[in-house]
Amino acid sequence: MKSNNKLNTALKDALFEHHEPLHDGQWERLRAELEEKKKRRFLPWFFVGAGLLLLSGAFSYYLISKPSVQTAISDTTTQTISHASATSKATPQMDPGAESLAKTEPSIDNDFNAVKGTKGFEPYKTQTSSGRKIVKDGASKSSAGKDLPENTEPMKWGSVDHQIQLADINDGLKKAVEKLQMSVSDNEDPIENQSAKEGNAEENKAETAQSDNSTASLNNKDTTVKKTNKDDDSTKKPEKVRFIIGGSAGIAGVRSEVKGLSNEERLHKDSKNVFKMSNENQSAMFVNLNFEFKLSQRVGLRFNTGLHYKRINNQVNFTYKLREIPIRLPDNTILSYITVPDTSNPLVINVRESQSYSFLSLPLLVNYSLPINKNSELLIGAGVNLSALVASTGSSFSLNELSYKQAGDMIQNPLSFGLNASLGYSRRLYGKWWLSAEAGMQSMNLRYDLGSGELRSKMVSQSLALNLRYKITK
Amino acid sequence: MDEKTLIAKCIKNDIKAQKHLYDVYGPVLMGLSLRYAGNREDAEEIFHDAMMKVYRSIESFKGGSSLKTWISRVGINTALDFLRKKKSALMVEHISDYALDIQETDTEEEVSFEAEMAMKLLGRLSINQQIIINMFVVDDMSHKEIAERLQISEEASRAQYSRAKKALAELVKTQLKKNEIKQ
Repeated sequence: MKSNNKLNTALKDALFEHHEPLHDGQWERLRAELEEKKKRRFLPWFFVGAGLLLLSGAFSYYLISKPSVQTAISDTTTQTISHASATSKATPQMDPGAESLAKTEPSIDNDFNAVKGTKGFEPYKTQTSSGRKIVKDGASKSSAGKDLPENTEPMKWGSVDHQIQLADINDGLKKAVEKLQMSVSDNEDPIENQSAKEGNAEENKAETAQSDNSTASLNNKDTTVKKTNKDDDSTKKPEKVRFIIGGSAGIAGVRSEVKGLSNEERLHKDSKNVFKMSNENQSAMFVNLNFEFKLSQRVGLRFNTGLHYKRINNQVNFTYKLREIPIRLPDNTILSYITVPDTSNPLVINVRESQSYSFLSLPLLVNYSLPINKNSELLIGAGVNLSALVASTGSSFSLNELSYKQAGDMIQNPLSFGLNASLGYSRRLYGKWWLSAEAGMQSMNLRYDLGSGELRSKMVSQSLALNLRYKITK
Repeated sequence: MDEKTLIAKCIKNDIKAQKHLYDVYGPVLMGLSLRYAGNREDAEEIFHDAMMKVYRSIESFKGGSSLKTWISRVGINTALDFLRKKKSALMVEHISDYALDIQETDTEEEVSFEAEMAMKLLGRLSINQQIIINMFVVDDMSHKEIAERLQISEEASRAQYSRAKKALAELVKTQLKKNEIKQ
């Protein structure tokens, strides 16, 4: 049972809704912690997102590129399959005129024999050899079909239906070969096939000389198919990539984490939290030249030998609180400090700082290339990087001297080591040129001298970059 | 900004809403923290932890009470946790201590004082007595509720309260005699 005596009532009246004033430092401390939590939440999602994006891109490309060959084949197969069944029966019964022409065009049969055994190519072969020979042999049109077996319905050469069918066959064939060539050229490595092309040049010339213009055109296309077949049979080894040079540009989000503060007992506790938030919301842009030496076909050692220029803009507006009160001499130099407890009124200094730092980084990565197909690969890299402060503008507040100093003077280690990791998806643009999208993470350890003790800060940046690369082969 | 909107925005980690919540309910929570802690330094720690708990768990606020009451409860729990950690012997006393006459003590005269004086008086009590007065008198909690929160028996809670009240009445009497408390 609640008692309602005078003392209780007096206490409750005095204390129940008692308000205590808050000072700015409390909110700043809360805000710093809330922001940190948000960033912690963001960080894993950044990498999960980047990883998923790359994987889905690679996987979708894989899915799209693979059926494209089958689609090209199946489309034309559908167009010509009905004609093929009829003409394939007619071919052995062809008149001598047609046979003689067939002898002058050995390359067509040969070419398609080269792809024989590849599922879906059989109808082309029959269709091509029979259909084209018949069209060429105008003299034999009248006698065509006379020696056909009884159970076979002969084509009526020269009839309108037959002409249309032949035109369809030729159109279908041309489209098929064109599509096939496009599909094949998508999947083949022009660099690797360069010597194969040269090796076949003479053969092409001979074939071309024997054929009319349309046949020559087809022959050239067929030769490409033949070359691809050679590649498929692994009769020719691909040329080895020895070096890769590239240039990239990108953006980075930089998260700064205060790792430690020596002599922190000299600072008011609110100031420690101010430090923790003083480097937040930074962003960076960078350009980068890179050079990769391939140790093997899959593993390479990558130096970002040129510029990795990172510019960090930092604008802060906060209040420092010192437990130390400086005792100054008449000439304003500081003699010593009196340390006061946190509970006493601290020395409050309102500071507005605006700084900009530019770093030159030299990352060294071991890169692993995981080929998806001939035109795309996943890149996984890990290593270290050396960062150097090359320029700085703006000012920082020195707690020791209670005055503003040049921002660059506050950084104690203009050279810093860090770790580096990246994940990328690379796609061939043209020939030896490749373009990759890379998500990476870099760390950098900086030490600031804030006057009242050294502040060690670890900066971690998450970057997204596009990298244009050129592969140099043996 | 109405309470519902404020809560919804805080759930979405809207920093402006979080600041608004801090501005509106912070001073009361700070007052509560100071009552329990007895000194500014500990009170600031309690306040900070309590505010973080409020931000983190505001999703679990179902509107069964007012937001202010809920925040106060969070503050009380945080203060008790803090004091328990800081003073591990909190509320652990010999059972013989409970064998006191549990009686309601009161002052003979009408009293009233400012918050500052009330805090001073509370500050002269032991930490356990401060807690029980805060919970029972100021925050209007029952002995059953106090017993649950402090993980002690109801009898122990009553005994603690009785002793605290007696000590407080003595202090008030002394102060009145010294004319330090204006009636």
